Amino acid sequence: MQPPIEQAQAIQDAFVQIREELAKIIVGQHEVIQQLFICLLCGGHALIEGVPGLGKTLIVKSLSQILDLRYSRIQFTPDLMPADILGTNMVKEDERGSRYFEFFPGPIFGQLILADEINRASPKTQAALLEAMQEERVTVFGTEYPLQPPFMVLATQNPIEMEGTYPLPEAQIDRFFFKVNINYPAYDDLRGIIDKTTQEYQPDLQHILHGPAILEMRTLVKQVPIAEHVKSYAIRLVLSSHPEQSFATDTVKQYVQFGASPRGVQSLVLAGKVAALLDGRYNVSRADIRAVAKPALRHRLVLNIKGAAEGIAVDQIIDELVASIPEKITYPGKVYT
Amino acid sequence: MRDNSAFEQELARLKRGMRLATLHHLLLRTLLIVLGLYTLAIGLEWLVAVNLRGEVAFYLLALALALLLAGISVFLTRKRIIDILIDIDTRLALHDRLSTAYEYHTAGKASTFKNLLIDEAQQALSHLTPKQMLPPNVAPLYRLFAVLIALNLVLLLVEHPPEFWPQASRTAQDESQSPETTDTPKAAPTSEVRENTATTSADLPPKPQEEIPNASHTPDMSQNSSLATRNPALKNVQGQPRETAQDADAGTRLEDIGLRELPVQQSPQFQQLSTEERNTLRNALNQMLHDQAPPVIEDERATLDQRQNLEEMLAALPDDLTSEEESGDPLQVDRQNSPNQDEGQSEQEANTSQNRSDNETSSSVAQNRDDERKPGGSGRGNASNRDGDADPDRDLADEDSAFAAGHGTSDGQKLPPNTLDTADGPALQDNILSARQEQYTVPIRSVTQIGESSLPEEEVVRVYRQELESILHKDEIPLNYREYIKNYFLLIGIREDQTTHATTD
Repeated sequence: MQPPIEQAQAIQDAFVQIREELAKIIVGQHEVIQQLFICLLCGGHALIEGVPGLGKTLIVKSLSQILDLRYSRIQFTPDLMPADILGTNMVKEDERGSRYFEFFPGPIFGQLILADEINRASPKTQAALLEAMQEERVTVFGTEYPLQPPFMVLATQNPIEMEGTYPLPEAQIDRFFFKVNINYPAYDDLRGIIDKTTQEYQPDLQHILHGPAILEMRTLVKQVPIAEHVKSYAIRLVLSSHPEQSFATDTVKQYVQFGASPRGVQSLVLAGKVAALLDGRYNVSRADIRAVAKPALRHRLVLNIKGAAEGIAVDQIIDELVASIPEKITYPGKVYT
Repeated sequence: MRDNSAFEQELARLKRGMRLATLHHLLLRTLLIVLGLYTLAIGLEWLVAVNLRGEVAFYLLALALALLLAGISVFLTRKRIIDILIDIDTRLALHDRLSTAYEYHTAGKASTFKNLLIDEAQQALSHLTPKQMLPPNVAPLYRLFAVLIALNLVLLLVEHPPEFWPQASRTAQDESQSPETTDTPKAAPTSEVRENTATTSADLPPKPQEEIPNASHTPDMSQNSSLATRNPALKNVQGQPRETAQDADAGTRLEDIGLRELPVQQSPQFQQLSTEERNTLRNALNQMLHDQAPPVIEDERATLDQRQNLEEMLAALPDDLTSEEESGDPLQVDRQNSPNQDEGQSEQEANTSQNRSDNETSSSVAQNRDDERKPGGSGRGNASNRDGDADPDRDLADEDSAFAAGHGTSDGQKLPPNTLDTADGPALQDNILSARQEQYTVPIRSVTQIGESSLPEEEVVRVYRQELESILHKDEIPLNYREYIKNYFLLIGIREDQTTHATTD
């Protein structure tokens, strides 16, 4: 077994290599790639949101090639049924003529699942996918079928054209580890996109990581130390998002209906550990918690009608929350001065 | 088990620095408390004339008390080593390495990265200087220390001024003149008081007189400076008789008009008056009304008890007089002569008119008439003979027949509240006389008795509540969202129309 320092170094190296490989296909979006990598090492699933044409599907597809994972793509449509995702039992006939049921697995039985436009399917179909995400197994006709680890779902959705869609309920959207926003590329990035996509350019992507290595990295990530006052910092950040709490800011009290759930704290701490390792450190700091606050919390805050009507950005609320937490904090309730 | 002695040595170095800092704080706070007690002692000596600082026990007690208080203060505000490490991590941007390493080292927590973390923390601590570990903090205590030092210096200089000060030479001269002068801070005020008591003139203040010869006889002062010192004092002395005369004149004028001390409260309650006082009051009222007081004034004590005080009685007086007039009582009060009354009466009538105007305001709000309302005038005793029905032929401009609001009665007709303008009944006018001898005409409709309203409260409040609730409901929906909702329903309407057309096609 490698010493921990080498294992940590391996994580750093893997990330650098993945970023370089993806850069052959994807222009820019470094933050998106880092967040997806963090999500992968934490064993979570990501919801990618962006306007059409920003390369959401391309990123996931390229990532699947680099990670050497079994890739499945599910295009969600309004007529998609749960059996189309999970699989179903089919009647088959053997040589003697007797019939029996055989389970035909659906596309969910991959390792890296792209759920494209997840908000177009009905809630029933969404629920089938989300059950697999939470339990990492599928139950069909009373029989459980485990999913092969590492199992990761990358769902995409379009923030515009919400008519005719089925927005994910808050309880289900909370199961996503990260919500990654893909922003519109800058001028230079657009020039790179033109160079890569409008010319004869077909790069070959190499396999950087495979499944067992990812699982080892996930185990190592959970070993990263975190101090009590850093935990207090993360707890304080999540509690501040609840309008009924005394820590809540005025903006939260005015515009937020529901704050982040305990899954938010889990996401903050786990993601902070990966962020620390990627930074070459062996402990989680308060700066790491701040760095992963937005992707971990932006989909867990539910705005009230006033916030939605006034178009309040959740990221802005999270920035205010981060600024409101005192830098000097130790154990819960005690502020170090 | 891995040897983390290097890390422990660095922690020991930090702890030594913390102990020194604690000792430093202890000494500083002790010194501050001692200085504060010394300052208090000086103040007490000046105020209470007690000698504290001459006793050795004072210093020992002050030191012991200061040490005790400082020790308690330091104990309560002591910082833990983890707090110091977090502070170092924050100041030097060490990403919580030191604090995490210390926590895992002391708590014995297990982690794959524990040893790596401890090594990093030990390296970081070894490169820190004592100033980086525990930076000197110019706390407010230091500023307080400086303030106390300065204050004590000032107090000591005041007590024992140096000889180069001008005050010092004069003080020395005074002390030489007084045979009983001792070398203590109390000597100067004692000699000054003794000389002040020797002043012979009772009209002039002694101090200016004292200052004039002293100022002019100071050998060190030139003639110009002595004149400059003497002239303001002379002006002050010359102004004294004028000021005294002015005060006396003001006092005399106040006494002449009998308003030396203006009363604060109104007239006392009748129940609190004795029989003698009531008779005195009756006599005064008789004189005021030129011996034409209505019988109510002559009533027995029980009747007077129904009034609370003089103001209320005077307020009811016109109504009583009117009722007596209608019933043929020859005793009437000529209300046209009211402007000729005294100032004191005008003041009372101002209070009376104020009470009546308040009553009119409350009665004019009632806009509904009740069939079951009792006929009759006021509930004030002798008004029962009044005709309860409103007379439509009453002349509105009749100034002689003034009515107070609330004493009219309705004709029993019940009207909705929004028909005030078209309501039957006279628009009564009431003439109010004030102390300024002005008349106020107040139109009143739908008079009702004071204290009785036939309009249910719910009927009045319901309308206002509905309006308020509608406003509240509207305000809950943001402006932007109203357009959103409207557009949404419009959109649905358009789609339905299109679908219908498609189906029919």
